[in-house]
Amino acid sequence: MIEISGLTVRYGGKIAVDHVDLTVQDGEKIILMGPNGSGKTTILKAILGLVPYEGHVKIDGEEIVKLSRREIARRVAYVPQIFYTPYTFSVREFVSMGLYSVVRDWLSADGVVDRAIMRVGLSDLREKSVNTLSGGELQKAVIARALVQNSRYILMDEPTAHLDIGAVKDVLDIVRSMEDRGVILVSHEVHPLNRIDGTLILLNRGRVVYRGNKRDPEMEEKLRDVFGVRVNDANGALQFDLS
Amino acid sequence: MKSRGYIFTFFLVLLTFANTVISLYIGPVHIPIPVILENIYRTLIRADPNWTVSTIIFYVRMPRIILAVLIGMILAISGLVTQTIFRNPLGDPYLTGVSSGAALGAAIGFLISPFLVPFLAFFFAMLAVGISFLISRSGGEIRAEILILAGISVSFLFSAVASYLIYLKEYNLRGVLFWLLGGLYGATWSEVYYIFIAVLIAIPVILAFRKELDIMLMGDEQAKSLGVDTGKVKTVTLLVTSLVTSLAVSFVGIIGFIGLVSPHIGRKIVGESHAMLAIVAPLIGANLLLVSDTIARSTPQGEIPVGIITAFIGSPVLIYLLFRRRRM
Repeated sequence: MIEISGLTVRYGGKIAVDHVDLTVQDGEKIILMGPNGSGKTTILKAILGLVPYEGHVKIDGEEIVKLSRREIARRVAYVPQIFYTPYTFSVREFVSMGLYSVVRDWLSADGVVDRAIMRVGLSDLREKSVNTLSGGELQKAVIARALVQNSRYILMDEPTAHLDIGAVKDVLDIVRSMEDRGVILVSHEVHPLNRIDGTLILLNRGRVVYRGNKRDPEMEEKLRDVFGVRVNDANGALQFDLS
Repeated sequence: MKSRGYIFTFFLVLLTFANTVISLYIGPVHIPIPVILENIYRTLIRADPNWTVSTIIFYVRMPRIILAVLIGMILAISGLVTQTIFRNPLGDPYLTGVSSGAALGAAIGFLISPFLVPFLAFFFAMLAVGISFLISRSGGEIRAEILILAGISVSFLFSAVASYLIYLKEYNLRGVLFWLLGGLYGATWSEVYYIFIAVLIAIPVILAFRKELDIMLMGDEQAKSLGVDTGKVKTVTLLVTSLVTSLAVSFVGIIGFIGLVSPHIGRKIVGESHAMLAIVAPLIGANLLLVSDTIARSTPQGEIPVGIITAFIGSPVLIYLLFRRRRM
């Protein structure tokens, strides 16, 4: 279980995350939403031990700052926002990097890598260079890299940003299929809410302003308050109304 | 890419041998290649050498050639590490202040006694690197972006002091200038011995960190999230390469372009994987410096500093690579 209590992160004198409490159970899906600058990515970075923080961030009962990089990587995988990478590593080599914290010999784990590549639907591209992939393909390769890390939790930073709607569906379906893994998915779109059965946590100016998993008028109202845009419920699917 | 890497490595090893034989042949005293090969055999196997030929081969040309090969390797592996850690294609081994530190040490050496030049060059090169490292440490980790600026700042300071000393002792200007542009003249077997040990340390250390360096190309944040102790990797690899570069500079002065260009050529052929690049880039560096030095010591004007030749060869190669990147 990931347990966060009283998490506060400051950049210089500015508070980016303000006394946030959050828990993620095994297999649970958390959708972390909020406008730009609301502290979503900073919470992920605190869980990964990438930023100094006040309060507590514990994974399986152990404070994150007491764990080595390798130990953190064995427990939590990260899917960052990557739109392009200039390097010529093949998809297989790129995905193999996820094994760094798991096994010493990358070559002996080829089966694991191939299975992860197949799971995200990139089998045909496994020998292609990552610098030739489209945005959606690269995002899937990053997810495959996180899958081979074999951690119980995966943190995803806007995995559907800048993707066409078909690729958005593919990525969210992959997340949905990770039944055994706890996921925190950061987004400022409503697509994850429509595709994934999880808990919404809404952030505004570093604070949690709503948490719940029922698609009801209260959730719609809170989304409208935070983003300043009306939310419609079209046959059970939420969408921002920009008209 | 991997099989291409093995083939290219094999080709580079052959090329190094071929260049070595050609370099042994080139010099003011004409010795035909069959005589050279026969004398190497007579000296090493039969212990019955032609002393005149043997002296030229084993005490004049060979230490210089082997030193060129080894120094080329050191500059290339150091350039590779610098470019990876800083994620900067313009990274070269001197980025952390090695060259200006060595220049100041050399200037002081020429002021006191030329005998002290290598020792002081090494000492001041390491001093410059040490100051840059100290400035850039934050939260127990070297911050690459600060290290670049620290290296530049320290370089300016050390260069200013070196220039002032050179200005004061104008009559020594030619000696310092010749040293600054680099040269392998007067190479000895003891220098070869020390640099050989440096190569034996540097390349295996970098190879040991090959996976970490591959992952660090993705940036610090991704590398850390994948479990890489980026602080340790940066400290160990930069410290080792700075140390061996300082040693190389203290023996042969500041030779530019080899460290900058060799990793780029290597990447074009075998890709970014450090398992291959940490072997291929040094072999390219070895050949580039060996060819440059052979040209430098056989110009019609006599010997010229090798740095002039490496710049002549290196800058067009770099411009070509930049043009290719622009077209991509």
